[in-house]
Amino acid sequence: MEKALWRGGFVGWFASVLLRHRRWRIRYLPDKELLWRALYDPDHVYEDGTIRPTFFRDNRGGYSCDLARLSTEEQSRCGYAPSGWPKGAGLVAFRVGHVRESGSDVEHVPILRPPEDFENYSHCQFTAQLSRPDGELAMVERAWFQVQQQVRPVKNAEG
Amino acid sequence: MSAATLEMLPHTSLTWPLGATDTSAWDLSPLPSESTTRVDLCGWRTQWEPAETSSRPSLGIASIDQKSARVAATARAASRVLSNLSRYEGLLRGWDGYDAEPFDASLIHWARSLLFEITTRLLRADVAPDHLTSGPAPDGSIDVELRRGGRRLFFILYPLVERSEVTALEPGEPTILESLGEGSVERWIRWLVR
Repeated sequence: MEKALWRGGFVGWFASVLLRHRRWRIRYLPDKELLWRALYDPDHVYEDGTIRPTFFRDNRGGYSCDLARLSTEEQSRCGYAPSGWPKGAGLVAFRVGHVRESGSDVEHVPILRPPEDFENYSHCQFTAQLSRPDGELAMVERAWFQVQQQVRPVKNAEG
Repeated sequence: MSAATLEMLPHTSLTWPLGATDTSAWDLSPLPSESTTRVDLCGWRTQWEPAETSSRPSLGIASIDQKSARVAATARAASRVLSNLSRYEGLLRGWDGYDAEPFDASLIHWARSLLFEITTRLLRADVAPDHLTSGPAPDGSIDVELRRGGRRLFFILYPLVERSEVTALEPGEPTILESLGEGSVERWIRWLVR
């Protein structure tokens, strides 16, 4: 069933519906699969609008993102939680392979109701902090805005 | 700005022009209506006062000594980073929309001290960075980033001091990552400005 998911068209769509219905956890994500993470905090972008390396840093592990194939731009950008995120939120895209090149991996960890109060079947997590010394910078170089953020960057300092 | 920070930062006062004796280089264009320029950065006070303007030729901004311009640029940059650090103190859990950690007061205090040391060393080296910024991360750490030429230097501060590190990047060279320890700031600022 997982193999069918990575196919395009009707077969892939049908596999995603079936997996979601059964609440199966996907065991392996191919390198080329697209991941999304919302960006709405102005502290995560430089004044020129580019992403800061801190956006990709989470030494606690379990850095959250959504598997694009199982989500929609709008849902990932606005958030699955009932509180939602601001309208100006952007969506940063990167690939599973980029995370592996930066010294971590990605696993499918769906958020299910119950025990959570909302559901996000597309939810994924980094298995560990990026271990390459320049891992965060490498991610910044490879990532791009799927949906441009509208937040105003914080006025920072340039000498 | 807390009183503690004010105490921490020195007060400097520079009077403009600094040792300018060759009046032929002066710009004689009219002064702006505000003849005194002050950059007040919560303790770092840089002040230019065209003294006795009635008996001296008017001086335009173009003739400001380059050294004082570098001091002003560094001081202005440090001031903005200081105000950003104060803002991080007020960020609550989940400030990034996910589950970001709030920032420990002691970490903010440490970042301020680090910024003071960086600024002092830059002023001593008489160098203004191209870029001096700070950035918060979801795991409760804070970056202080400097750029000069093609070099980039990140001081990454974690609530656990032992985890804090320096990342240095130079085009064509491998990335350097090392723990932030005693003497690190001096050494890496020297690397940045060399």
